[in-house]
Amino acid sequence: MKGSSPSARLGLWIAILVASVSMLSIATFDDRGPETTEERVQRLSDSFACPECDGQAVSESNAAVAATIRALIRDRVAEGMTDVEIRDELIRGYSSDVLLNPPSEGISALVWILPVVFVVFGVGGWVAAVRRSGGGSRTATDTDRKLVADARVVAVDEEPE
Amino acid sequence: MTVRRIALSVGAVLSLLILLLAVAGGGSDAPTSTLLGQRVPLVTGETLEGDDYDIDRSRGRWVVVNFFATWCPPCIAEHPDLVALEQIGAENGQIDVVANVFNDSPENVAEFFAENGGSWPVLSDPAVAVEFQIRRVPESFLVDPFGVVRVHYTGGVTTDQILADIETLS
Repeated sequence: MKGSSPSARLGLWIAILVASVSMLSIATFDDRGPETTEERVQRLSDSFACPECDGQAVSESNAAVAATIRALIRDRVAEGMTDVEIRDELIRGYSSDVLLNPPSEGISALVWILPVVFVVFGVGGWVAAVRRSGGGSRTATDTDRKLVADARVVAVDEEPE
Repeated sequence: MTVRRIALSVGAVLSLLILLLAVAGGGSDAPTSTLLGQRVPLVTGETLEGDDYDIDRSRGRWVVVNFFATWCPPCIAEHPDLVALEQIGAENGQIDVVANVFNDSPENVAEFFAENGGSWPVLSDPAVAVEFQIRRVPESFLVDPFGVVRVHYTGGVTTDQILADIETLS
């Protein structure tokens, strides 16, 4: 970016903005029709961890406990229970360990907070580095002008005859 | 220099937090049940023989709630002890046995009971297994005459063990 013209930089920012808005629009308005019962069972089975297998989803595990949880999910979906009700029932049995996505409270919340902290410090460091390297628009102060003038005088004095 | 010092401090704090998170996530394999000392969860529904079952009807008697599967060798091994326990309960009127199948078919269970004996009610409800926090079979729970879960057995039971626990807790 250093040395590129303001119009080129503006163009890049506009391109990033257009790309971001496009992706968000696709994600928000993607219309594949209502979810079928089978799709819902699959989605829920994908979101719970098998309590006996290291980090494996209930949908992927052959363990008996995973099959039992899949059967429960199928029963509860057929009974019309909400996702939250099914999740709460499974947490009551197997604690929050059954969630593949860690909860956003307690010590587990650090999993969500730490990346944000990293990003904030990363961006902050990047901005500080850019400022230090003089990438920002800065007007010359009187001190700057005096420094330059002094340097020029020295340069002229030292010029070979 | 100051920026470097701040970065180092932040890095150290974050490393500590990550370590704390890793340590907090451990120790979940403990086989203890949080149901001990609690009121027994609902065990109701239709048995594989088509009868209605409700564990609350056993109030006043000890109940062994057994989770099993016919494909599980320790479950097959403990079955004669449960048959003996059912016999003792039928004679003294103080002990009931109920089972819940864990990932097995009703046909297999019917065949298993026909071959190995036992006539206690058998449910096939994944919700009961989840409510009792079952991870692998066999697991059993001893429920006292007041409906409180008193003992949690993993890896199979014996008649003597259960009778001894009942005597100790009575």
